[in-house]
Amino acid sequence: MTDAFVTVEDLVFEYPANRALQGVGVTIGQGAITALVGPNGAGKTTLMRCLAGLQEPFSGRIAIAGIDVNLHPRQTHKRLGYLADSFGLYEDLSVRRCLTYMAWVQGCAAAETGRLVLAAADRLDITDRLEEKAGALSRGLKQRLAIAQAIIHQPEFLILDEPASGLDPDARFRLSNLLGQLRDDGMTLLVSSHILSELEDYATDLIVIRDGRIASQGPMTGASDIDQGERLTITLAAPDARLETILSAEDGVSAIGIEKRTGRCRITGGEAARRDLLKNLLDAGLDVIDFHVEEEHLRDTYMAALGGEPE
Amino acid sequence: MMGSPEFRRNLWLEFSPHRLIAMPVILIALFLLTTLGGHRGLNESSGSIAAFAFIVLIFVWGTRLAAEAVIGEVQDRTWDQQRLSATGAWQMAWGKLFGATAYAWYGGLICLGFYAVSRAAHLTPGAVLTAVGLYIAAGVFAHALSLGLSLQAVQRRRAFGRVQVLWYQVVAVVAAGIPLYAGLKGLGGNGAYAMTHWFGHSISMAHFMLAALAVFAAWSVAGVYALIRLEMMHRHGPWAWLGFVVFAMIFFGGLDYLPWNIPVILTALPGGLSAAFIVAAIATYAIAFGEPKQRVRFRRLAHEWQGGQWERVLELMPRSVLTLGLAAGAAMAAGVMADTTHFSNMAGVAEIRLAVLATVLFVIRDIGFVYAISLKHETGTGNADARAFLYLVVAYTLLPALAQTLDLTPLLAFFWPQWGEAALLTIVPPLMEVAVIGFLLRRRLASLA
Repeated sequence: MTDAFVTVEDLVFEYPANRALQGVGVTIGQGAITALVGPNGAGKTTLMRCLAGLQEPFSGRIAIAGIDVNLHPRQTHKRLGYLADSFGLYEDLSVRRCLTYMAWVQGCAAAETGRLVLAAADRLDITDRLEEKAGALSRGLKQRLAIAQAIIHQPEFLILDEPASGLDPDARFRLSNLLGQLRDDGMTLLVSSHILSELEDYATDLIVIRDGRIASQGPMTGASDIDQGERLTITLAAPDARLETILSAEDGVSAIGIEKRTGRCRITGGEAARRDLLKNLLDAGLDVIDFHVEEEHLRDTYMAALGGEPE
Repeated sequence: MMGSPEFRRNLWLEFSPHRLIAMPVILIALFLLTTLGGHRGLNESSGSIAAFAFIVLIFVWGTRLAAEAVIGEVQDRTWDQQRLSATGAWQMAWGKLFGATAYAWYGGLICLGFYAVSRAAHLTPGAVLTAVGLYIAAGVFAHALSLGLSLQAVQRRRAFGRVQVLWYQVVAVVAAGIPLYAGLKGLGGNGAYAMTHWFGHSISMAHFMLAALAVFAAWSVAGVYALIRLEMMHRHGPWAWLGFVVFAMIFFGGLDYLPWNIPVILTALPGGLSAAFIVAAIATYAIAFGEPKQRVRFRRLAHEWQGGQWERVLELMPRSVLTLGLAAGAAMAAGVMADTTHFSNMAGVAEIRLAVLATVLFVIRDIGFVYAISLKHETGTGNADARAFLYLVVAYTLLPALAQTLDLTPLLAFFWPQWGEAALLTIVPPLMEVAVIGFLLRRRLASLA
């Protein structure tokens, strides 16, 4: 991970009836696109709102670019863009005026406003809608306008809560590209989504949150806290009870599951361990027709971190 | 004026070409109807119609626009964008106050122009200017108060109905309407002004009310600014609020209450300090019902207290508790400075001092009760406040009436401060009630840990 841009230490947030965040500690590297995932009610939105300085935590510390968010919220507000899950727009204003207003309130120079409006509209592909009223746009176009508003002042840190919600497949693809471009421009991003396959396309890091606690965090590739080895699938020509016996006796093999003629497990030890296991299976006379390592997906990491089904 | 993006956004929304033309066309048509019909010309009644139109636009409609300036943003889910923006709290405050009401002022100022022309023939230019000043100051005060009340409410809730907005409007209109009425009533024809007294100085009623409205409008704008700072996550101590309460205590303490029909026993107390106590007590009740009372806030207060973070403790401390200190101070000072020559013996002096103490104890009991009810419920502080308010109304009205009907007059001391009664009857009942409420509060605060 690159230098820490966001540091959260022992963050506790309480609602009147429950404790939404219970000692959360995370680090987000500069220039990373961090995916924040977790079941509904896990505390994703609360964590994002605390990071944005919109809610004051009960205790703990958040620093963005070294600035304490709780002590100096206004200094951090200037540096970040935030798109809420449930956002609103000034529906009676045209798209151009919505963007112009956001540029003004974000303190952009008057001489730059026109250029920034066009640049943001162009990035979200809404240039042809500039004179339409925001209220007349479709759900997907409204979402694009809201994202354009969040990035118009070119913030250092962008927080997007469910940005792909309401977008069609084409717009989602464009969003993935846009987030990559923003990162290339030097922005640090935190994105929450329920669409795990899409996060995989652009996220560099992953934070899994459950019941107000961090279940897992780290880089997307091979960096889960739960390093339990590779996921191996073995298929026989016909069901054979000896498969489970051999797998159980093997060193470095865990999480064994047998379903009819297919066995799944996790195996540590790399190629040598896999070679030994295959040799043992063949020596035992098992009729192996398929033996392969499954590519690790975000869904698997997520499920392993949560110990259950994703939402 | 155009420096605030919020003000400009409001102008975009409020001043479409159609609306820009519609307002003067409608008002000019109304004024032509009142002046040309029956060849009446510009006279007192045409001025009254202009004033009436101003009141409708500024007080009825404008206070609604002001109250909805932030509530509308909350309901449309755009408020967080504004809270996160780089715009300063001051720019946001005046941008909302004058931006959201800009269209109402557009019409209101046309009305005032017509009013001034209509009244010019019957009043001196100075009186016309004073009247126009009274209307404008009252309008700004009403709008700022309406916006301030809605901002105070936003701290406690994020959902609003028409009733809440109407309530902020009513409070704002009554608060601005009384001095406006008094000021206009004090405007005599041809320079004859009614007089009033303030700290012994004789001042014309109209000018005094104009100054009072201007100062209270300034305090209200300062309140709006402070509340927007809070929404923008600035930390805020209680000083602005306490400063306002002290100002109000001094202001009302200086008024002349002689024409009022005050019970003889109360005339022994210094009028200024008594008025200051009443003002501080009203402020204590108002803020106790208006301030946020979430359990989380108390847990945080306890957390900061234990950590010795005294500045934070002061920020989180309920404003009602601090205001109660001011009220108690004024009451005690009034008791100490009671005019002993009023009484033939020292027992009379002691009685009135104990009655003052009992009155303070009742205020302490009530504020403690409001908090005890709020802390009992996990959510819905608004409902808890409504419940506490209802119980207090019952305690001050139905129960004493029942005690009197049943001829149980000694029990009245549990419901109202008793003046001129025996010491035991005056002080012991409220003291017992304060002890019970204190015990309840202590238990509820302990349960938060």
